[in-house]
Amino acid sequence: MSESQALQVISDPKDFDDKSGNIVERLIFNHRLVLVAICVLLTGFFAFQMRGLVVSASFDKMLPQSHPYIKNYIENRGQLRGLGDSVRVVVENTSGDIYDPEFLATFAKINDEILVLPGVDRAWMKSIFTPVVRWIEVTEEGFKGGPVLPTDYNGSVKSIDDLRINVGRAGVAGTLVSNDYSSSMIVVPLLPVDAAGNPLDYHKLSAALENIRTKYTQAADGSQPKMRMYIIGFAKMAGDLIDGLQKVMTFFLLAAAVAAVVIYMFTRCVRSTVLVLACSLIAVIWQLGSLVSLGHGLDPFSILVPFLVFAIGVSHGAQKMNGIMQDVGRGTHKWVAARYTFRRLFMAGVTALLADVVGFAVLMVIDIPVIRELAMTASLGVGVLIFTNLILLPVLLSYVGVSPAAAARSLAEENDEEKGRGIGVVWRLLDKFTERRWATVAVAVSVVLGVLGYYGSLDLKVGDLDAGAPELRPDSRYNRDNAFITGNYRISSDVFAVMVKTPPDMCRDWQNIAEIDRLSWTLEQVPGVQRSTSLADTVRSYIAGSSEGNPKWFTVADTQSIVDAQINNALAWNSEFLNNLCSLSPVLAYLADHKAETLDAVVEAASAFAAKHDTDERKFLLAAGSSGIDAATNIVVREANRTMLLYVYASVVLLCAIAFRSWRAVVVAVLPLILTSVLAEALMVKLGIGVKVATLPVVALGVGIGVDYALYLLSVQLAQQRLGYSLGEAYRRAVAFTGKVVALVGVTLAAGVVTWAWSPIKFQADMGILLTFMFLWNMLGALILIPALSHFLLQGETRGRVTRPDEATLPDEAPLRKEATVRKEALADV
Amino acid sequence: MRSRLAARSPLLAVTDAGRRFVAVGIRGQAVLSDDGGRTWAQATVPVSSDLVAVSFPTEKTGWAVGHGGVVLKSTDGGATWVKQFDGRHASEVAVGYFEKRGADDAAAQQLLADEKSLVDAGGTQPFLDVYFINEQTGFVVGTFNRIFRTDDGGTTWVPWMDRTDNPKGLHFNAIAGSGGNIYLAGEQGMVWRLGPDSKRFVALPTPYSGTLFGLLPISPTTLLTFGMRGSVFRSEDAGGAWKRVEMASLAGVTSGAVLPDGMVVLVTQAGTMEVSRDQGRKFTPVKPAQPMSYFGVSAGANGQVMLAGAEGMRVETVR
Repeated sequence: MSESQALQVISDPKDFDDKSGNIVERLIFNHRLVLVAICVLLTGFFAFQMRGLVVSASFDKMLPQSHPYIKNYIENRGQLRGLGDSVRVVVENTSGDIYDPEFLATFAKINDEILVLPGVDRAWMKSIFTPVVRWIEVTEEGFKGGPVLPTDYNGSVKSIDDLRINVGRAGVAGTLVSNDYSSSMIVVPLLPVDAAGNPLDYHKLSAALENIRTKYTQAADGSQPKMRMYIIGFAKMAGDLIDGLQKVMTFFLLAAAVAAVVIYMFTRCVRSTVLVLACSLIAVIWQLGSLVSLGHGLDPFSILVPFLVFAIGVSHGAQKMNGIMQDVGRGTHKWVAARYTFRRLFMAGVTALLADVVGFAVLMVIDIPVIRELAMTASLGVGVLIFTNLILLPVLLSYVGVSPAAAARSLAEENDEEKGRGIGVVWRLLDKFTERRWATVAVAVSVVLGVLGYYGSLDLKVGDLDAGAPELRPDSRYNRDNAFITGNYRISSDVFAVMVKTPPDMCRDWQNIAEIDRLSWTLEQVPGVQRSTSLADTVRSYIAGSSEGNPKWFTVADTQSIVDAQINNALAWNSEFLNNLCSLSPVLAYLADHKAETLDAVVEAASAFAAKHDTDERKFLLAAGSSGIDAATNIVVREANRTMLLYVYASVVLLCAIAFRSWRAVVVAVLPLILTSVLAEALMVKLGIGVKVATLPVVALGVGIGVDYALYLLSVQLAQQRLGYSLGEAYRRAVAFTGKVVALVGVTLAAGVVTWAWSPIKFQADMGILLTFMFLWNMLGALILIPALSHFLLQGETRGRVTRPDEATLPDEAPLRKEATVRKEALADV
Repeated sequence: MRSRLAARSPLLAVTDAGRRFVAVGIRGQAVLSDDGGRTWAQATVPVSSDLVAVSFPTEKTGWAVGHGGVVLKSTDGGATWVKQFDGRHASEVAVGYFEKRGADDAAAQQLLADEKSLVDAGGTQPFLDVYFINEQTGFVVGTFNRIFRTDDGGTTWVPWMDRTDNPKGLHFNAIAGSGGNIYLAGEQGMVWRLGPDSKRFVALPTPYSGTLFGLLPISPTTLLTFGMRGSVFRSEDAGGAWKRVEMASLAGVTSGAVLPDGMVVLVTQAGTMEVSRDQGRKFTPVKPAQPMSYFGVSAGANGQVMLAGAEGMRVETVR
């Protein structure tokens, strides 16, 4: 074979025929300076672009856009007052109730400061200190009412007494004042865009609220603060998420440091370590820069990608160095060695990267923008890697070279390993798995693990399992605030809304209200629904109110004129249960939690009701509210999980079939991946992680990247077997050539994502843990199960005898072959 | 509709049917308990209208009324109900009855016009209370002076709008019987009484101008009437003269009961209970273990009371 003949040791570049190699190689290595210049320019450009990189969290992008529930929600959300974007701020008096002059004075200040924050819909801000909050009382003379804050309020004992009476009359205990009267709430509705048309900056708002919190709740002398503030709402959560993301950025440095250490341990060469890291960093710069150029930014999901790109880059870079180091060690000139390495590994590298791309591309089937963007960003990043780590890195290595000591060491180490010394003990151990006894044990253990894992994974839940905002950790400030507020007020953060749509002004029709009441009652029957509220409740209490408060009138009258008066009141008093057009009215079910079973049951009840009661003039549309969105997301995620697994395995099988051209080899390659997938699901059950937007990509990424190991190992092993080597010998050679790299890849990939486990963002931590597990376990699975399964399935791949050893395709055959021959002779002697 | 929440959703009235308690409430819910309120079973009701009142003259036979003008009858102690009468039917009966009285009966013509204008307004008129003297004879009362009587166990109903001193057409919110008299209470502090030999409900105004929600006979001649904003009035002469009883709270009083030992209990919308040991002259508050907005109360054994309210059925001990 001409190629292998060309790979001879050439110590002087003058002896090298620079017309050798394929056109790509010649194009690159004969114009190295041009290439480096282009890369420098591009890196400069993309680095400059990166200044415009924004880290944001978008609520909409997490919605499965084409699901009918989400379409209904997006179409109508402008009309859903009660479900609009708002923040709730609770101020607690830690030493008494709210009727404390000092507390009320501070509460008034906080109220005023929040009122003027940008983005606040001032007219509808609600607290006991805002004029829209009124008390109404039925007296013998009729309705009587006024603002809860007495108009002559001055903080005196008398005006505080008046306030106390008004709070009682307004019935705001449980809504604006806590059940135990020790805290009071400010409901802050937000405007989606400001006067200039700019979207609301959640991060800024969140920071401004945080400033107010710091200002009023920190006791100067470090003593117990007199007040506490609790803040919840999507804006606050998004702000906390973005803060968390910035913290995650620092994890990147940690991941880089770990990767540096791993590579240095592997090469013991500063030069090459720096080069590999530099090229991988350049890949990240290109990726982020091009992301900005395309008008995108990073979000909590796609922030995963730079980590992965970096880790994949490092592992591919390490392979390049491995090759060059051995060539240089044998005395080849660095420029020639770089070309040899390129020649040997470019196609293999591209294939492996394409396998990664498959893993990412499969994510495109999921109809959730954040995941699609993740898939897009990741494909971009992997594409960039082909340039930076498969092309630029060898070129740079051809200039810089490697430390001669390290190169010599690398060669010596390899010889040691061949002889079973040093780390070679481990490789020797792995060889044993090609033997019947060890193979049987390995397969048996895997079957047991697989069965246990399968039974464990049966409990796998879809959706989020923790209370509060599942995006953040259960013990995060936000979730503690949320627990305080849900514990002390009659509000739930899990709301499922059905939108009842009628022609304009028809929401007032008593029959429609009666149907709304029926739906509300139907939903209330569902286990997990704590209570439900609707326009019908408003109408009932207004009718009772206008009948001197007689509870016998707590009804939806079938006399339209009676109902009309109440709807007019509801419109005038800005009820959350209808829009200005009186064409949309939400029925809200407050849920005990957002577990999948709860959501499924509500969806089922609401859908059945809609199917039975929908008319042309009255539609029951699912679904809005946090739980409505959760329900739709769960449905999409459950569906996507199946199709995605199907696609990812189909594509991996196809890829393996093309690479190995043997169904037995495909089985050997895929079974360890399946075991990992099953165990990963069991691990999710164990750790209480549900299948959700954040964990969906993990399986695809894990399988897509995991198959790399099998591709490396099996392709070499099969090639050797087809040359006539026994399975044991072929595997030994495969491990010798790629085993170290497989281990290195596993460790660097894991190092790239393991830091995430400490992310303040719950779903990122979940992703980090699962990816780390999949990367490491896939590595182990490949190194142990591939030989074991090969024992049972691939013995037959060995063809004939080794007749013409010169034809061996392995590039660095020469020394190996000698070793092998020596050893064979030694064995023959015995 | 079958509901796991029947005994936890708003119930407007509760009464005893022998040793059983029967309660009715919104969306056609009816529940019954044979163990003093520990457990409640859901009754079978043919309508989903809001039910507001219930009356059991005997252990087995009783009636419930409510919105939509529905009148339901049960002959198995409240377990299953059948509809006997409804608002539309009631209007037809009233219109037919007054039309038959002829054009020269001015009073009848006025009542006919009144009923027709209610029909024209659309919808139906509710019945707000029911009282049966025995299994045959009883009254249902409601809005705008509407009152019907049956003497055949609810099969046929006769309008009694022409036998009330109610020129303003005020709503009747409550009806109760005691010592051979039957009393009505309604808007503008009005009480009416039908004597044993009388053919007419005569007006017995209280000093109050607000709405009265209910009546509570304590002895053959002593009775209470009560309503919004803590208003309670007491009469010792079958409604002839009324005296205000002071209450601690300004909450609307919705219902009352007399316990076997003579203790009087009143309950309010604010979830407070007031008890009297002197036949309703003076009341003192009792703290409920689990307060809610109360709409109905019925006396149980051993100082217990069955309470119907915004959150369904509760049992409290007042002694």
